[in-house]
Amino acid sequence: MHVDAQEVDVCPAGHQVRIRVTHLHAGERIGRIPEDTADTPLVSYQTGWLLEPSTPGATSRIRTETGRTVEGELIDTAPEFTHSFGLRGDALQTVRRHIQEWKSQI
Amino acid sequence: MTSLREYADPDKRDRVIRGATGIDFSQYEYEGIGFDYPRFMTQESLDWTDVHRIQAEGKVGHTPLFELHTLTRMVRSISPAGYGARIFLKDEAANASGSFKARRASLAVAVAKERGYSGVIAATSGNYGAAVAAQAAMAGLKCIIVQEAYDSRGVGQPEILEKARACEALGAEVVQLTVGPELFLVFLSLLDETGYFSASLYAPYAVQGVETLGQEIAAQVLDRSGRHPDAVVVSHAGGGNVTGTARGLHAAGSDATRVIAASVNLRGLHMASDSDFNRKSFTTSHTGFGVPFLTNPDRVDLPRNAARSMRYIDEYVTVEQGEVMYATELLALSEGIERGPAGNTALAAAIALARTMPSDQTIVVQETEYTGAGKMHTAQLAFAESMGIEVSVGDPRDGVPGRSIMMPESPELIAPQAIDLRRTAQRVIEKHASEGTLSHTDITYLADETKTSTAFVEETVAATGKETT
Repeated sequence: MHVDAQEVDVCPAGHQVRIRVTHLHAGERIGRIPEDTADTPLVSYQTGWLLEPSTPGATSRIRTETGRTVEGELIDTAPEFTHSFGLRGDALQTVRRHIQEWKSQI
Repeated sequence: MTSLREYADPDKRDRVIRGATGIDFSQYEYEGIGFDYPRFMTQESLDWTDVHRIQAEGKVGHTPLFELHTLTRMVRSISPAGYGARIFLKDEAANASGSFKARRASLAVAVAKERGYSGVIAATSGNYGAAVAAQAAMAGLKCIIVQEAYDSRGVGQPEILEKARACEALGAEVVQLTVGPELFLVFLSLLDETGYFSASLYAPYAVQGVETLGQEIAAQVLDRSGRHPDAVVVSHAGGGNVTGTARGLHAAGSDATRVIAASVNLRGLHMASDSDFNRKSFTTSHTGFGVPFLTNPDRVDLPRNAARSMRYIDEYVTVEQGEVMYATELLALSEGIERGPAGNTALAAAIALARTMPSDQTIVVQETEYTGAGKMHTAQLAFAESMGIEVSVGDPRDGVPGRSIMMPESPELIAPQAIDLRRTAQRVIEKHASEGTLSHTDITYLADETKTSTAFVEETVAATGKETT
């Protein structure tokens, strides 16, 4: 996830941001949870618009797409989509060559 | 910090769900372990005229059935003489939002709208999110999708991140959580906070939405081959795809059609483990959902699940991750269509199954899903390698989920493994027998539930040394 660590000035109200909300702290998890998960907090990431001016790292309130107000730590002042098409991959290229050979034989 | 603990209370949970679905589940309960599944399905379903109208208006259904001529010829070239069934592909990517999940979402959102809710919420990291978002956008309802998206380091699978993007593109708000079953508590708290409708994947109407898929397959194959399909292969996760498709096939008279469920083998990976979360290269259609949902369907966001795949499947096979990646390449290179890897789970199984069927028979791959950045095998494999997973070519069964992915060196190495359904049925019966004395009603229920017979249930119970009343 992109986290904006730069020292920015105050981010204005109305700015689109991403916040991190801690729902359960590590060690306070509920139900039958594997140990490795129980040792981590339950966190959500939510995107919306700042209700008041804020700075990265500060507790901030946002208005979400459906109009809810959510409070959490401001972690990103420029949320972006980072997923890609991936790599061509050596193993995949081998598979592709095999398939083309198979196809050429029918 | 939000208080989640109060939603772990069963009374609170039941109140929230009742308010968010409008279904009184208690009216279907029997004494003992069972409930009236047929009546639940009939009473909570929609009128068929409405179903067809809603799906047509929602840009859902009547997807193409492609005969895969080149792939069929390729498969015949590695089959015994006279073998190699005609392979058909139901191109469900053609639905609004790009998957068969639109069939389910269309009815769930229509119910929400009719009952006067102002918004809908669904808990899903899969294609159902975009499906609900798309239908909500058309219906003018607000929409929140709750995803399990990241590990504790904030790293997310490309496939899930793409689904979040699609949900947002279609107007939804997305709440992206780290790993853990308390997602359900967050989901309940959001229902409670907003008063929105729970667009559960597992309500009767959400399963009914898939019945049209089974009906369409039966009609299209009859039209093209003059016969009902011999086999339909269905990707299996929560069971709704299998349940709905099989019910639709039966309704259309395809009673002799073999319904074969297929899941990607992820054995050894724990679904609630933070460290295992990003070591799988499939986030749906895998055994981590398929196997537990098969034997205990009521582990969902409703007290009773309308998706009960064990009642409907004739066979259940697993395929390896590498086999599905290979099938994805094969589909592109032989048939000229790129589709998302998770939707090709059934295709991987069908390639091997077709080789065992005479060439005058038909086998239908029952779904595809959309593809694109994130939702591609190239993205998932690159991500796997970045997590330290070895990707190579060899015998797929030498791959170890979470450690290595082996794509087949030759197509003959695609070899789905059958799950012993009889033994699985016995385990379900034994579990119930160990929890208390089973009545005659319980035994009849378990016979239906496991697709066996009352005699089989009684024998299995007797073998445990337990008595029945």
